Amino acid sequence: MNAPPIYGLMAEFDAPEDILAAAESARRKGYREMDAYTPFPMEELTDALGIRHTTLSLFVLCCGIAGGLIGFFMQYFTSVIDYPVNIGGKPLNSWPQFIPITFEMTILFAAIGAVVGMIFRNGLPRPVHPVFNVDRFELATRDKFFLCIEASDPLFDRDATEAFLKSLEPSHVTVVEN
Amino acid sequence: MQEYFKKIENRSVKIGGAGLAALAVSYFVWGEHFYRSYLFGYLPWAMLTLGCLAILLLHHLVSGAWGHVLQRMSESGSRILAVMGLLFIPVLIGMRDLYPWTDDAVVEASHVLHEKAGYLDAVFFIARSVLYFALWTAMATLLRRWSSKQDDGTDRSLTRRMKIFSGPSMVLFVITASLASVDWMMSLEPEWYSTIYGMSFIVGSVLTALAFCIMVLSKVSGHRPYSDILTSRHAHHLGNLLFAFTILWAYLAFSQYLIIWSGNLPEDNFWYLRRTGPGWNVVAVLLLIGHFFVPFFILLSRRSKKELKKLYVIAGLIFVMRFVDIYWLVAPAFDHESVSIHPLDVIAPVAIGGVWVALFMRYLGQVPILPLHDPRFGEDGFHIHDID
Repeated sequence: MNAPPIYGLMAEFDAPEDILAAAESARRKGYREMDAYTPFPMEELTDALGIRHTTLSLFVLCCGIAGGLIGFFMQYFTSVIDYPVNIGGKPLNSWPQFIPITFEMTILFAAIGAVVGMIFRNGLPRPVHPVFNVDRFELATRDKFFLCIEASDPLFDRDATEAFLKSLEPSHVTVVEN
Repeated sequence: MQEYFKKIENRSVKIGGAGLAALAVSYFVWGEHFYRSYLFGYLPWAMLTLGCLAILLLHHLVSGAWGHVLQRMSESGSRILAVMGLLFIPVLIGMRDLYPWTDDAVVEASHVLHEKAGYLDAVFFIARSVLYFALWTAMATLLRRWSSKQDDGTDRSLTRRMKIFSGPSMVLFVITASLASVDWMMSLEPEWYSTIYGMSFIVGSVLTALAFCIMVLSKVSGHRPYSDILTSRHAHHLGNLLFAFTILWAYLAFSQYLIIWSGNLPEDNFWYLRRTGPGWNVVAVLLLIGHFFVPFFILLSRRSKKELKKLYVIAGLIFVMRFVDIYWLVAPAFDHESVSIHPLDVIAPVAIGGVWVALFMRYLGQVPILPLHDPRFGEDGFHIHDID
């Protein structure tokens, strides 16, 4: 295991505006591998943290297309190749009849792809996360706001990053142990 | 922004005036084609007007931020209902050219039409149309009055009143608009029927109005006060709605097709046989691609919905496709064999459209462009609190 000795550095803020400003400055400073933890959802943080477009949507699109193709050809296979039955003189490849199931399969695969893809892209399942090593972190579900710059960031330097975080005037700066 | 409205109004007055003059002249040149082209020219704009009323009712019911920025447009659009009622008179005059059930010989020869004669009756038809326009105009007028009064900021109960009024009105609107679609469009081929037709008509109307309002909003988005409050969230909401209605339109259109295709009975499959015959099949495929697949795949992406400039292009495509769709629904009732676009099929929608857009811009210029003192929305155009 050559995991970095620490997970990152965490700064604690008292107000939503403070963490928004802090995330903005950290992004401007060039930090990318960071995350914010707040007691309630803050849409603005997505932009402030510089979270780019994820590849999840592309994955969901591919799942949807695959579901549609599987749905259609499953019906094509059963009614044209495997067990052809003449129903009311209709052509064996009665594609209009196949559309509802094709549609449902598209939605099903895309929805499952979205949930499963989201779970794996988030690094789940993961029984415990290093941020919980910080004692005060439980306040993130009450009234404190946390910004964590991770050690995996190329710009991360223990002393420089700590000095930078302190310059943002948080109430605490803590080292997050791995 | 007022100059922009004025500019478009003047341009539309010229187009509408020239169009109406051309329409009047062509009545004497192409008399036998006049009424069917007029009906085709009339229907998309009538659906746009009705769609505006539907959006207005929906907005007062659910009070979304997307409806707040469209409210004055949907009010101005539905205000045109009175004029659309007047413009319907030529259809009534030309009834005998348009609707086969007005011919006693045709009715006598068909058992189905004989049974339907109680409903498909000329006097009853006129009475119904008058009733529709009276009800719709009343709804639009009351909502617009109350909303103007709310702009004064003195009466706080009006918001609630508009909300309560919109519930039953929405029910009445769906019933009357369904019946209007049966009367004006479906009875062009009176032996045919489809129970989903009314819903298709309403969804098509809302889609037309939504596309139109998005185009106008995108054009004025750079001007105050819109530039102060419009955010990518508004665009995103509107893009999602456009997306939803595009899918709903395709869903309803396909449901009707699937049922008739599966049954394959001569009583109703002739309707699709006409519309997928030589020439018309090209239009059908064009609709499938241009009215569904292209907007669907573009609107699937979040990025295309976040900017009004991008939505403008898609809304424009949908708006044009609405005309193609209505042409495909109406014209094969007359041209069974092939597509033959008559010059009047272009003059009529342009003439009525000119009048429509001119009125829309004039009405829009007469009111504060955003509703004032609406307790549901804050300075930023988003909810501060909900009333109930």
